[in-house]
Amino acid sequence: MHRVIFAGMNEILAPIYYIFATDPTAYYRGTDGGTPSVERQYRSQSSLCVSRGDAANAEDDAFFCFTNVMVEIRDNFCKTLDHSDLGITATMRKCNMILKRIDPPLWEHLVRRLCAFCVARTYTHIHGLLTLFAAWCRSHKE
Amino acid sequence: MNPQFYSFRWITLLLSQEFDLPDVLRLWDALFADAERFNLLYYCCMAMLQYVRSHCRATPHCRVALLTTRTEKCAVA
Repeated sequence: MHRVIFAGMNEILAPIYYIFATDPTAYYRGTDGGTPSVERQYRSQSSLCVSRGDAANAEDDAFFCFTNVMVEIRDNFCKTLDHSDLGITATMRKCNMILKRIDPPLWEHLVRRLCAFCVARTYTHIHGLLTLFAAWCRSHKE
Repeated sequence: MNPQFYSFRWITLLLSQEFDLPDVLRLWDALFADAERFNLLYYCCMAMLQYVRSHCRATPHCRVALLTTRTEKCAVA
């Protein structure tokens, strides 16, 4: 089991967490002191209960949904798949082919212009493009 | 340089960076409702390109990438 966090994953989690944390029903947020989530029940039974703030259920539920979303999109984040049929390059090519089909002039324009654009150096940091500046600056500081 | 770059962030982050949060939620609702994920995502990308089409065609080359990576905030209908 690889536990790796890639730049940009947080952007996937954020909207999911927002939904649960702002749910109008306190029960789903876990702020009403009512029935805790399954995981919290388990934790308290095993005396490993970690005191967490508000929206505790929201965190559990958001994580569950997040992992399910990642199952579907993880190949895009996997560098080793970048140049395979499963990785992000293949997906972008698919997208590009749709554009070529529906709007050839714009496609040609983009290809010509983007080819001229000097992004070659960022190509090695392809995954750094994700959170265009924030993540990139952070990783370069380290 | 790979000319397909414009869609990189759109696809990996499911467009979550391109719109305000309420619009992202509305959009994701549709994306996840699509049984054949993520075909709708690709067509949303195409729609965004169409939205900035006139800008794209009139913009000097160094700006095109910026345009497409940070599309103007457009409301999701």
